[in-house]
Amino acid sequence: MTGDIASLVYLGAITLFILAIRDMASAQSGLRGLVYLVVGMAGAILAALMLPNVLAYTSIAASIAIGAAAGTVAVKRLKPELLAQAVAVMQGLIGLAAVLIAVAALLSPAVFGIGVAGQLSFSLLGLLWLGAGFGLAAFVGSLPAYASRKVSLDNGEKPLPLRLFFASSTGWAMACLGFALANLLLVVAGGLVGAASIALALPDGREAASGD
Amino acid sequence: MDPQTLAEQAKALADQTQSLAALAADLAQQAQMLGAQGAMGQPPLIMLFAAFVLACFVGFLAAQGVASANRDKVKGALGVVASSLVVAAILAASPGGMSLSKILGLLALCLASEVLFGCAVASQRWLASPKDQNKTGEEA
Repeated sequence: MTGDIASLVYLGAITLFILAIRDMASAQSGLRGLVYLVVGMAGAILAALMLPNVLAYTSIAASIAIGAAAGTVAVKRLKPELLAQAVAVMQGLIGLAAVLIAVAALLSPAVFGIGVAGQLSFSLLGLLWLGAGFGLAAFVGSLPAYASRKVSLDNGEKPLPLRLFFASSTGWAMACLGFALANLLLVVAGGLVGAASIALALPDGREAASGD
Repeated sequence: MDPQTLAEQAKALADQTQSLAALAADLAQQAQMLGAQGAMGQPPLIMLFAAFVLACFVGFLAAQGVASANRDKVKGALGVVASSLVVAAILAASPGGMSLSKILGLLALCLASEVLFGCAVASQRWLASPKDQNKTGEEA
C-alpha cells in the first residue's frame, strides 16, 4: 500500500471517529458509534501495517495481542462504578506511549522518515520534546485517578469524582507527534481528543441552569 | 620497495576499502528508509495545521452539549480515538532486527493496544447497562 492510499484510509477513519463521538453522546445511537470506532480503528491499523517499510510483523502482532489481552481482561473484571477511573488511567497510559514514541523518534528518526539522528532541525526537536512533555503530564495526571480507584477498591467506597483535565494533554501530545511525523491521523485525532476533553471537563450549562 | 612493505600497504588498503563499503551500505540503508517514507505522501505543514484547527473545533462542538449521563461513554470513545497512536507505534516497531527504538516502539504498541481494547470494552459495558451508566455519570 502506498502512502497516498494510507492517507485516504486515515481520512475515512477520521470521519468515522467524528461520527462515533457524536453517536456516543446519545444513549440510542451509542452502539452504532462503537461500531464506527471499531471499523475506523481497524482500517487505520491495517493501513499502517501495509506500509512498505513495515517488516517486523511477528513482534508487532505479539505486542498487539499482549496489549489487547491485558486491556480486555483488566476492564472486564472491574466493577461498573470503577470503569470511569479505568478509562482515566488508560488515557494516562496513552501519554506514556507518546513519551516512548517521542524518545524512539529522537533515537532513530530515519525509521519515521524525518531525518538522520543527530541532525534533526530545531523545530522537529522542539515538537518531539513538547509531545514527550505533554505525554508525561497526561501520565502523571492519571496517577490520582489510579490512587482514587485503589482507595475505593480497598475500602469498598464509591470512587472520588474525576475531572479529566489531564486527558486533554494526551490529545496535545498526539498532535505534537503528528506534526513531527507529518501524520494526518495523529494530528486530527489529537485535536479531537484534546478539544473534546476540555469540553467534557467543563460543567454542563443546562444542568447548572436547571439546578439553580 | 620490498615485498613485505607492499603486502602491508595492500592490507591497509583492503581494510580501508572494507570500512568504506560498510559505511556505504549503512548510508544506502538509511537512504532506502528515507525513500520509502518519502513515498508515503506526507501532507504539507499548512494542511496539517488547518486539519488540526478544524479538528479542535469539531471535537469541542461535538462534546460541548453532552449531558452528564452520557459523558463517560464519550470519554471511552475518546480513549479509543486516542489509541490511534498505535499507527506511530507500528512505525517505530517496523524495522527488522532489534534496536532500542524498536523496543520502545513495541512497548508503546502494547500500551496503545491495551488502551484501545480496554476503552472499547468499557464503552461496550456502559452501553450494555444504561442504568449503571446514568448512576456513575452523575458522579463524573
